[in-house]
Amino acid sequence: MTHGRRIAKGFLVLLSLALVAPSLRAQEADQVEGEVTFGPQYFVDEDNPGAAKFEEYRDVPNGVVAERLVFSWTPKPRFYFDVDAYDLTQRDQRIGVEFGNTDVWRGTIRWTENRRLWTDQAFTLFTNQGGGVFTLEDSFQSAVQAGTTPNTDANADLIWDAGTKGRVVQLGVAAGAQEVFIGHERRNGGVGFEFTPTRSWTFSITGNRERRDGTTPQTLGMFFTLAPAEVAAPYDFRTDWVTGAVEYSSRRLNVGAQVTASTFETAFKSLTWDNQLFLNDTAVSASVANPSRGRMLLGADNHWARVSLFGGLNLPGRTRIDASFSRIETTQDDAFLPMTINSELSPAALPATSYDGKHDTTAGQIRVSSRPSKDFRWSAWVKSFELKNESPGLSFADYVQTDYQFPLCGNLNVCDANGNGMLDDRIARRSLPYGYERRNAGFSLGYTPGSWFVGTLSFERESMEREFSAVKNSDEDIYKLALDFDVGARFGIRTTFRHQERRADEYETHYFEDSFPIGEPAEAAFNEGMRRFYWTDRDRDAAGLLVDWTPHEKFSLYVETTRQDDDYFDPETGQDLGTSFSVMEDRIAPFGTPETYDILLAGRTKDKTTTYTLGVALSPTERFNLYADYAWEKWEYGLETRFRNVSGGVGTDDPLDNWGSDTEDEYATASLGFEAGLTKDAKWRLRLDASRSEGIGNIETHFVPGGAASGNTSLTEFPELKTTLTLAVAALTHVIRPNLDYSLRYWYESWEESNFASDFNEPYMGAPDQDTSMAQALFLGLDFRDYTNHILSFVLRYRY
Amino acid sequence: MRRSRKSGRVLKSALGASCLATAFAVVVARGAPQEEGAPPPAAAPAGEYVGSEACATCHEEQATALARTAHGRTQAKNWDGVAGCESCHGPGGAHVAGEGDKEKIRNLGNLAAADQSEVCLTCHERGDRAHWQGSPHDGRGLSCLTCHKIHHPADAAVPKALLTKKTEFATCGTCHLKRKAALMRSAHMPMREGTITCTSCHNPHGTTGPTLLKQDSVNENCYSCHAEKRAPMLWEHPPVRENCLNCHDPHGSLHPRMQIAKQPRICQQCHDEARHPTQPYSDASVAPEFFPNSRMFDRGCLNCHSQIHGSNHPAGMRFHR
Repeated sequence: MTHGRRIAKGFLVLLSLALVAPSLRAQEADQVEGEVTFGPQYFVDEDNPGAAKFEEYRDVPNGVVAERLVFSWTPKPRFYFDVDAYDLTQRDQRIGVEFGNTDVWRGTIRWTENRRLWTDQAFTLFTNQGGGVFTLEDSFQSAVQAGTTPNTDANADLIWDAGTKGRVVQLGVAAGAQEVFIGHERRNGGVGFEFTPTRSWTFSITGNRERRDGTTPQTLGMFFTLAPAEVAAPYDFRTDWVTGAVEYSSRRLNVGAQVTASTFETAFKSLTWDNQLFLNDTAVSASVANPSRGRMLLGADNHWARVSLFGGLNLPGRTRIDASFSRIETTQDDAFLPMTINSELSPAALPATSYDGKHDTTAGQIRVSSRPSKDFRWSAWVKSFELKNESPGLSFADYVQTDYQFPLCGNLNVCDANGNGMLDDRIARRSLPYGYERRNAGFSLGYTPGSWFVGTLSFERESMEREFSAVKNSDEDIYKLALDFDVGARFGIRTTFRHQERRADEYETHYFEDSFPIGEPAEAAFNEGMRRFYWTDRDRDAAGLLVDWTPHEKFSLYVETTRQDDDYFDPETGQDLGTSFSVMEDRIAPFGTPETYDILLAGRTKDKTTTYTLGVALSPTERFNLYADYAWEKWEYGLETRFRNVSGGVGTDDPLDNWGSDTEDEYATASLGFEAGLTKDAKWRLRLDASRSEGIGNIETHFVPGGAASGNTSLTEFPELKTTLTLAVAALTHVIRPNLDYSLRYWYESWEESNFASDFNEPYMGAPDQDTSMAQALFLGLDFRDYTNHILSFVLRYRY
Repeated sequence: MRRSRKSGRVLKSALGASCLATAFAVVVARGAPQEEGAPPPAAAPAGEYVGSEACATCHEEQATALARTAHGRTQAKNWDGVAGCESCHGPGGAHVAGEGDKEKIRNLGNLAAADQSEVCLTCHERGDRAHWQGSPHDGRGLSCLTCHKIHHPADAAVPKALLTKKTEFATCGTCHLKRKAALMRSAHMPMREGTITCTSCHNPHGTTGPTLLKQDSVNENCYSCHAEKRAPMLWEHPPVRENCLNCHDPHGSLHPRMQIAKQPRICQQCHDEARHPTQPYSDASVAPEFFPNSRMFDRGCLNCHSQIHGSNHPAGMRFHR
C-alpha cells in the first residue's frame, strides 16, 4: 500500500470516529472519550535522504501523519469498546482493539506492522528469475571461465591485468550491477476472546497470523578455490498460532491448562544461483567437478504444539505451591534436496527422501514459597527442561562439499573401504541429533527483621546432560546473597553477590567422531586442547551495588555499579584456558606412535562485564521536572588459541603459533530531559528529551614474540569500531483548552558509524588494493550510511 | 590437578530436600493457626462495609478517576464477597464513623511491600500473576504498586495496565537504566520504535523460565517471533540449539544482528580446529592501507557458513548449504 493511500485510510478512520463520537456522546453523557494526535511533519534538512538506518524499523514519512488515536466508548454500563492505535498512516502502524462486557467476556483484535530495512545500497549482477532462482548472463559466465588466473597486476596500477578473471568480474560489476532493494515487512494480526462465566472460570482462545515477506541479504558459500556470492534472497514466511486455555481459580488455588498449536511455512525452500566462474559443470577429477550452479536450503516448514498444565495452591501460613508442566513437540518433514546439483558428481542415493525431524521438549517445575512470619520467608524449587531430539541420525555416503567435491578420506588406516591402498575413499557423514536436559534445584531464605533490611540467601544447582557433545554432564553451583538496606523512606542500598562454579565431568574433544561412520579421516585437524566456553568449566563472580537516595522530595539520585567476571578452566587438568603443557601420546591413535608434543588449552579464557549507572531526577517546582541518566558498560572477552595446520597427517602444534585476542566493547549513554511550564497557568510548556549513545569496539591481537601465526609477519590491528547516536526532541506545546493543544516539535537525530565490516563493502570486493582473495566474488555491497536529520512537525492533540 | 567436583548426588539430595520441604510446608501449614488466630499484616481494620457510594461522598475525585478504569467497571466481588473500594481498602465503616480517620481504613501505601501485593493478589493471583510470590521482584521488596498505580488523576490519560508511567518502557526503565541505555545501540530490537516492549519477552510478575522470560527457555522465547529457527535440523549447531544468547545479546549490541562480539572473533572463541578457523585474520592485504580480510567484512565467517543456525540440506554439515 502506498503512503498516500495509507494517509487517506488513516484519516478516514479518524474522520469516522470524529463524526461518530459526538453522536455517541449525545446519547448519554460521558460515554465516549479519546484522543487524536495528528499533524504534518517535514524533513527540513537531511544529509542522507531516506537513510535506511534511520528507518530500519520504522516509517517516518514526509507529510501528514496520525501519531495516535485513542477511542473509548462505553455504550452501556459495563460494556466497553476501546481502540488504541499508533502511526495509523504509516507502514509501522499498531492497532489494538479491546471490547467486551466487564467480568463476563472480552474480545481483542491486534494488528502490528514492523518493517526492516537492511541497507542503503545493494547492487547485484544476478537476475531474480523467481522461485528462488538467480542467474547470470551466460556471456558473463563464459568470459569469467575463459579468464586467466592467478590474477595479476603487472604494472602495479591497482587494476587487474586484462584477461584475468578478477578483471572480468570487476568490469562485469561496473557495467551491469543493478540496484536492488533489501528489506522486509512483518505484519502480525491476532484476535482473542476470553469468557468468564463465573468468578472462578476463565476460558480463552486466541489466534495469531504473521506474514513476513521481502528480501534479505544471503551469502552463498562456495569452496575456497571457488568464489562466494551474495544475493537479495526472497523470503515469504507464514506463521500461524492458535491457543486455547482454561483456568479455574479460587481463594485457595488456581489450576489451568493451555494448548497451543503453530505452523510455519516458507514459500521459498531453496536458493539456486549461477556460479560466476563456470558456465557448465566441468569435471576436474574423479572426486572434483567445477559447478555451474549452487543450491542451498533456505528454511524448513515446521509444526509446533504445546500442552501445558499449571496450578498453584495457597496454604495457610502464607505458603504457596506452584507447579507447571509443559510438553512441546516440534516436527518437520521437508523433502531433502539432492546432495548436489552438479551433474558431474554422482553421489550415492540419500538414506531418506525427507528429514523426519522431531524435538520433544518437556519442562516441569515445582516451587514452594512461604512467608510464615513477617520477618522470614523461604522458597524451594525444582525445575527440569529437556530437549529430547527424536530426529534420526542419518548417514550420508558420498558427502559432497559445496556442490564441488567429494571430500576424500586422508587416513588409510581408518577408511580404505575399497582396500586399494589409495586415498580415494569418499567420506561419509552422519548427522548427530543434539539434545540436552537441564535440571535446576535450589532454595532461598529471606530475612526481614524490619522495614530497614531485607536479606536473601540462595543456593541452586543446575545440571546439564547432553548428547553428542564434548561434555556429557556438568553441574553448576550458584550461590547468591542479596542485602538490601532502607534507611527511612529516602535512602536505600541494594547489594547483590553471586558466585557460580560450573564443572564438567570430562571434556571429550573427540565427540565429533560419531559423525564419521566409516572413520575419522583427519584426526589431527581437531585440536586436543579445544575447550568451548559454553561447555567447559567456569567460575563466575558477580557483584552489584545500587544506591537510591531521595534527600528531598524534589530531588532523587540513583547510582548503580555491577561487575561480573567469568574464568574458564579445563575440566581434565583444572588449568586455566590459555595455558599449555606437554603430553606424550599417539596423536593418531591407534595408528601412530607416542610422541611428545605441546597442547594449548584453547578457547575463551575470560569474560568481564563492568557497568556504572547514574540517574538524577529533579522537580524544584511543580512546573519543572528534569531527569538525567548516564550508563557506562564495558564487555571484555579474552581468547587464547593457536594456528594449527595439518601436515603429514598430524597437526602442527607449535607454541610459536600461539596467538590471542582481547575483544572489548564499551558503551556510554547519556540522557537528559526536562518538562517546564513556561507560564503560571502551564498553558505554554516546553519539553526536551535528548540522548547521546556511543559504542566503541576494539580487538587487540597478540602473538608469541618471534612467532608468526599462520605465517603472517605483517600483522596489523583491527580498526576501532564506533557508532554514535544522538537524539533530541524538543516540543513547545500550547494548551488552548484542557482538551485541545498543539505542539511545535523539532526532532534531531544523527547516526555515525565506523565499521570495518561494512564501510568497505562494495559489489566488487577484490581489487588489487583490497582483499585479493575475493577477486572473483560478487557481493551486494551492503552498507548503512550515516545520517543527520532535522524534522519539524506541527502536532495537534484533541481529547474528546 | 583436576578441580574438585561435587557429584550428582548433591543434586539428588537437593531434589529430595525440596520434596521434603514441600511436604513439610504442607504439613506445617495445615497445622498453622488460621487467619482468625493471627491476623495477617495486610488485614483491614474490622468494621462494617459501607459501599463505594459512601466512599465517593468524600473521595469524589478518586471515584471519578477509578470509574474510567477496569477497576471502576468491574462489579466482581473479591473472595470475601466485597466489590468496589472496600475490596482493596477493607471495610470502611470505622473510617466513616471516625469521620475519615486515616488509621481506621487500610491504606495500601502504609503497608509493607509484600502486604501490598497480597491485597492485589487476592483477586489477581492467577494467569500471568500466579508466580509472583517468591519471584525475583517480590524477593527484592517490590510490590504491585511499584509499577502500577490504581488511582490516576481523572484529567489524565490512563496508561495501559495502570502503570505508574506513561509507557511500559518508561516503567521498566525506571530501575533498569542499563537496559534502557542498551536500546540506543546500533543493533537493537525494535523497542524504541515501539514495535515490541519488555513484556514481549518478559513477564515481570514471575515465571517458570530463566530471567523472568515468558517461556521455559531462552530459545523457546526467541522462537515466539523467529519460528523459522525452531525446526529440528538435520545438521544442528549445538550452541545455537542450546542457547541463542551464546552468540546474541537481545538487549542491543555494537555488532550487526546483535552478536556479542565481532566477526570473526565470535566464531573463533569456539572454533580452534586446524586450518583457517585458527588464523588470526588481523592482517592487511596490502599494508599500510587496511582492508579487511574476507572473514572480516560483511558477514565474516558467515559469508560462506551462511546457514549457521542449522541446515536441513544433506550437504549442509558445515552450514554452507
